[in-house]
Amino acid sequence: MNEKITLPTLVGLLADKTGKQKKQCEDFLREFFNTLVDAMETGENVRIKSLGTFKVVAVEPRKSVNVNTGEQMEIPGHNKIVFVPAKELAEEVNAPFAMFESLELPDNVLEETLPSSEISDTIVSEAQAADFPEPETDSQENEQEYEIGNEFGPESVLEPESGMDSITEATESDEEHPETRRNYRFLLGFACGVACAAVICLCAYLFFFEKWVVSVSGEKKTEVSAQTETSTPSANADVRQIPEPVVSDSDKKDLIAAADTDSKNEQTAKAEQTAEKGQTAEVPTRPSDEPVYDTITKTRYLTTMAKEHYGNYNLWPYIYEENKAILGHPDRIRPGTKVIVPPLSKYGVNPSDPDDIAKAKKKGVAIYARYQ
Amino acid sequence: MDNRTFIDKIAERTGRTREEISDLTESLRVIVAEAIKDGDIVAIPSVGTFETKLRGDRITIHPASGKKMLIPPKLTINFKPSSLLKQKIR
Repeated sequence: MNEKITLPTLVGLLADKTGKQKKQCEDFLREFFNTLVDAMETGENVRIKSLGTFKVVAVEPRKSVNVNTGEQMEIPGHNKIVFVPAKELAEEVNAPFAMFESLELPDNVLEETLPSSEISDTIVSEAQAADFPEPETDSQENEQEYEIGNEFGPESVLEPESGMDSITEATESDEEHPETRRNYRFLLGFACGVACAAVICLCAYLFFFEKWVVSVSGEKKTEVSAQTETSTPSANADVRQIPEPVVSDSDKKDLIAAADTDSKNEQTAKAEQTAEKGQTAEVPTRPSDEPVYDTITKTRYLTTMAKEHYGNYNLWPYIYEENKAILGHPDRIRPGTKVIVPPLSKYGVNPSDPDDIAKAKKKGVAIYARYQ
Repeated sequence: MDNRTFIDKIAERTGRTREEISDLTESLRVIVAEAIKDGDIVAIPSVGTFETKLRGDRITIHPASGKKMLIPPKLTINFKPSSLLKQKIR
């Protein structure tokens, strides 16, 4: 396939076929082509039975344009060679497509086959990526598509271009079949790869999580031993409700043991603690009334600051109001401008109140209105 | 130049019988056909290359009846003369 057969190879093949010596074959081939070229040089057509006709055709001079310079130029008249293969040879070469015949298409041509099959194709591939279906379903799908492809005749097409495409696929589905199969195999392989990656990730996660739990319980241990008469962390209350009020040394030991063994509880405890922390972190209203300074950059606007400090980007007008004196159009603030981010309490705004957000929005509109 | 004169000429040049030459020509045809059928390219130096090209199917309108026709795909034989040959016949 797609190999280049050169003269020496041809000589070898011919010698094998005819049983003659290589030298004789080489002589023959050389003379064969020399005669051919000589005849064509004199402008003669050469008809070789069962191979075809080599015609020398005159080409008239014609005008053209140089695509690079745009200059007008004339292509001079010349001769060219046209090879018309013999019918026998042409039919032999075209054997794979010999069974096709030209068809008459109905006039009311509608767009069908290709787009639908494409869609089903993508759906199938997505489904495969998502949850590896059985290979059987694949092949079924494949066959269905194949059938659809073969039924192109009566269905047919709306636009000539897409129509051609779809029909190309339809008629060639015979040959494309193995290719789509390969495609599916590739997709299946890809899906397997993804699954493997997922499993590895899960393992790694579990491993590290386990470690983390151990370390956390270790921390807990120290924590617990450090606290003598104080209350245990509230999150652990469910386990230690009873021993809590009277924490004696033995109880402490029990606690430590509990902390060691009951890692599940520990886990939940930690999760709750982090949740608590997260809550406090998420509530961005800073309790302190001290203003914070921030600097505008190319990627950091008033809205980004509002989102960061107040938790809602709609609250940017308050930062703007605070810095009214140094700011111009809110969209044209120079990078590097230092602004004061006021505490929201100064304006009596609650970022979780939708009414306040609406007010802030209105305010923003008002600010923009100033620069209209 | 038809087939007979062509064969005669080669026979004359190589000093062999016409039958021999026409046998060889037939064998050459078979070999070339086999090769290009498999998608190979037969390249003969200073003459040119023989290869097959797939002409995709297309829709045409029958000039006489005005009906849309689907023309099936086809493998055609393509001969591409070498630049040397092109220069020679110019």
